[in-house]
Amino acid sequence: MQIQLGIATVLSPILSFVLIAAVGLRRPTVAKIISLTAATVSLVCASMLLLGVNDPAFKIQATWSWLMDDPSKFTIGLLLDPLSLVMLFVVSIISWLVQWYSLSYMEEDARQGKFFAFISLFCFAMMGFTIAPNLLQSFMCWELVGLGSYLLIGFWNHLPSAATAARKAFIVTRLGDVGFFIALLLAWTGLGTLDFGAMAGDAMSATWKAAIGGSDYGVWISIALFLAVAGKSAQFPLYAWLPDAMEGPTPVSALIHAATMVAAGVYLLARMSFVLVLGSEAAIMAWHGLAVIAMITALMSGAVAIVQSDIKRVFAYSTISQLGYMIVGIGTGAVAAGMMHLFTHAFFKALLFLTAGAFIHAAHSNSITDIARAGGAKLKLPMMALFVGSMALMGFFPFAGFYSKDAILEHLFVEGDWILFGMALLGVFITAYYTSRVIYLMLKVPAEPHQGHGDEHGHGHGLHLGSWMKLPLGFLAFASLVAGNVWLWKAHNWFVIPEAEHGNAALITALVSTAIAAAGAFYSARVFYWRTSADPMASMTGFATLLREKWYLDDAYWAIVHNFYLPITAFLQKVETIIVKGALDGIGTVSMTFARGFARAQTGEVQHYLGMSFVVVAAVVLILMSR
Amino acid sequence: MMLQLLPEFAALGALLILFFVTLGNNVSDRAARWITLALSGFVLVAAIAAQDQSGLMFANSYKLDTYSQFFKILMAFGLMANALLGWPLRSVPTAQRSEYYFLFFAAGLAMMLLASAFSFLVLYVAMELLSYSLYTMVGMRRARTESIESSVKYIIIGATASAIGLFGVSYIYGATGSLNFGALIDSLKGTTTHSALLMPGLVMVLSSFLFKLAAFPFHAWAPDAYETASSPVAMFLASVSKLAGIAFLFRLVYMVKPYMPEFETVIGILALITMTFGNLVAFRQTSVKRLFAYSSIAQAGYLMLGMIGFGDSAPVAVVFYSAIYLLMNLVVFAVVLELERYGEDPTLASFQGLYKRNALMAMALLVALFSLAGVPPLAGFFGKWLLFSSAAQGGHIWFVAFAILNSVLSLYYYLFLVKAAYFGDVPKEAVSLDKGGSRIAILVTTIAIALLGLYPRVLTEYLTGLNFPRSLLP
Repeated sequence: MQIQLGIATVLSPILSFVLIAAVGLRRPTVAKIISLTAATVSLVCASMLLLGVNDPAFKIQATWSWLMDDPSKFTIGLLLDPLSLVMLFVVSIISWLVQWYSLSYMEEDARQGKFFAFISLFCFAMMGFTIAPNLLQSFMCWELVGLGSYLLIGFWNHLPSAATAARKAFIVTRLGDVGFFIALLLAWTGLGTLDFGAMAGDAMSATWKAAIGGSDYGVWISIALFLAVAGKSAQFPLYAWLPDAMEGPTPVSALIHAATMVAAGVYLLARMSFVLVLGSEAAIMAWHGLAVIAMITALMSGAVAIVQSDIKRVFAYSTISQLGYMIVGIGTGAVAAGMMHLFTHAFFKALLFLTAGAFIHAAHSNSITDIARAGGAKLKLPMMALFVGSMALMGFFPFAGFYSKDAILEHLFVEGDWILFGMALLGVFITAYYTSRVIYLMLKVPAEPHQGHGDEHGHGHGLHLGSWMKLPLGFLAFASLVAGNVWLWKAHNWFVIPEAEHGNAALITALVSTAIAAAGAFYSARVFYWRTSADPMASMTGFATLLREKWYLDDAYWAIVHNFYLPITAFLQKVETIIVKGALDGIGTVSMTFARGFARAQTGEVQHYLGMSFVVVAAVVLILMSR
Repeated sequence: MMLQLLPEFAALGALLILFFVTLGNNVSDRAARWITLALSGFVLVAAIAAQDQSGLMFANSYKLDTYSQFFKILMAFGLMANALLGWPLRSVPTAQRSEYYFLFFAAGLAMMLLASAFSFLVLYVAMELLSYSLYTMVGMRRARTESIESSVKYIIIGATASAIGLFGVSYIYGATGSLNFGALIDSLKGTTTHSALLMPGLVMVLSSFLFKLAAFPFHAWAPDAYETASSPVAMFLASVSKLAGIAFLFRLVYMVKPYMPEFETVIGILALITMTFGNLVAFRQTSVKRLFAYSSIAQAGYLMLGMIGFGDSAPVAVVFYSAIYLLMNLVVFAVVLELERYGEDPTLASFQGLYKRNALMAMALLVALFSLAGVPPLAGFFGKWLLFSSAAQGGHIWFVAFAILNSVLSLYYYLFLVKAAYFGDVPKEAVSLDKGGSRIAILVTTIAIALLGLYPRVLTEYLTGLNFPRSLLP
């Protein structure tokens, strides 16, 4: 039964993609109906599956041989365990809400059919990745997810910036994918299996620790995977694509670049976290190293979020920073805490993006100040949603982010990892600072009723909230409030939660982090709200320049590309034109010569044909007889 | 008996019904086509219903087994697909169109007989029935004298091939004293030193099949016939009619090869020459139908290579490839037929900008051509992989290396068409391709090609379950 439900969850989006491609591309209504029906089926099935889990040891796996008959080789199938089902639920519910929301957001777009087809393709890939029972299927779906992301970032491909952003996202994540592929090859050659269950078996412990190239398999595979995670989940040094990816339609940003795809890397780490149990000391050190990098990423990107004027970019940098927190959790061994933050973050970050989308849709601008000038603060539901989402992001009680962020902080506290703990608290301050800044700017900048593009588009009296946007915003706001409690209530069914022997650790971290977040929000208010200067952004210099230039990371990319990559390609191009092309041309010439000769045999004279037939048959007979 | 021979009787019935219905030409072409489609549906149902039949019939000269019955299903499917996609017969005079449908089932019946033939006599009769139907079909396009010319060439080459074959049969009869395959195998099993007549006899019998498959050195009829025949006829020649030759030739090769390793080498070398010839000459074609004639010559070469593969894996490989060969050629010719609306006998130039005129057609063509070229993950790749790996297991590693090189060569002309379709400019005089055509059928076939590549086990597992090695060996 579970298997059938799992199959239905995953296959309905691809069916939707095929159907829309066949009949819905020019019929938006048909495309919307197909797409939402499929999303509903997925959501219902995924919910039923998740509700049926009441034991962390729950595991159902079904695989089918693929390509080869030998089932020990390549298989595809589903692995249903609490980890995959939680992720499957997150993906299906966010994608349902986002598709519902898109009914309004995309209503004026001429290519809605294509949009819903791409979303369906993406959902299929993401779900196929989530339930993958082995690294091979993970990898294939991982790549398909990347394709879906590329197609959707560049959906408005008439805008050069969108096309460039799509290409950048694709190429940068591709660098990470090389890591995934290396991990795949290492696992295949070293461990002899790609199946998660088999790789996690106790008997594999020795194999994971088997030495290769100065270290062991656990270390090499982990490092290769970290590269993939850094690409997909936008961590240092591969995070620069995510802010640019905001060129895509905002529902896409909410679905792919906040809640699901970027969390794929985190999910992969959670899936592979058995390395922390089976691997050597060195492998565990490597995971800790990843956690440190993620923590640094979280601080760097959080700082950049402070100076962004584009509302989506604020949230994009915030996403990078929050993904960092999740990886810190998993890298230091708190898988459940990391997944909890993934779970709550999916809701409140999707909420923030959809809210941003509502503003953008209404005000026709991405700039926070433009939106405020156009009267964004008068949109009641989005403002409420922005407030709830921000409270959750900053981590105030009783919003969802409070519980999940504290779970990670508490883990660091209990482990006595004071450096990471301190950095994480600094991150809390920065988060509160940039998040509250958006609200202050929205409230502070006065509305100018006759500004903006609202009038031209016919909604003359103030701003207008799309009618399909209300339900997702309302629901997500509710979820951002309760998701943390839901997790605490249900999570013992899903994960083995380490029991507290730490006494007051929870209380201490909760108080400290709340105090620090409040300090961040307060300081932000001093700078952006209470100060009287007209444009608080203009007064920022020095360090802010560094932030505004995004730590010069893009320039560093360019320097590398110009100084190393381009000379190499130039050299390879010479090799290509002189040696490879020369050889190929040679083959071509030879083939053509032969072709000319053979073609001459086709004279059109039937006598020649028969003569040839007779001679060949006679020759064959004679040769065989003479032996 | 009626039940055992259900597909054959269904084809015979269809033939007779069409004969009487179209007598006197009082049925419109459209009606005749629908009747044909319905009847071919019945034949397909009959073939599926008879899929579990087995046994030797008619004094051991007719054999029903999983192999023959599966091929009959494929053939019936091919007939139906041809009835669906291979229409209208633009260049055939209206008065003769009804004859086409009659010959259509005559050829269908002959193909089914060939799949089950277990004696040289049945073989000969079935072969001639098939050949005569095809000769007439090729010559039906009266508007072009070349059509008559190539039909006559076809007859001359065919008659010669069948004369050589019959001559070979007389040798075999001389050597074994029987026309029955069972007797032939028994005599092969009995001794290690065969009669001196046997080998030349078999080689000469082989000639008839090389002719049917359009393999070297009996390939020369194919390009002319494909080009000058009406396009639905060319589709018929390229798709379903090949199955008959493959079905029978493989049965013979499979039975004989354990006892005669030389025979294997002969087939292997002829296979290599066939594919090289087909691929290289295809480079230089400008007429699309001619190009696909050479392409199908090359494809026959791949199939022949698979036939001499390792005993346990070769049958599945050959049958799998036959099935997808059928699908790929159906798609390709369906697109050619669509383009014919723009002018008869499409050239490479008429493919220019197909993508902009009709994206679905271009996509179908792309999938079919990539599959023919053997690009993963399409069915053609997996089919070739099965054929080549079977041949390699059979110890023909050098043949396989050569075949892979050939496969690379073939990319050139397949991709050339793809390039024209996707990157070319639409010709000024091009007519719209928006309406009509068998969209759904083409789409379904194209999806089948893609799915069989992604998940070939749907078919291979079924074929493995049919246990061909046991049913092929007497």
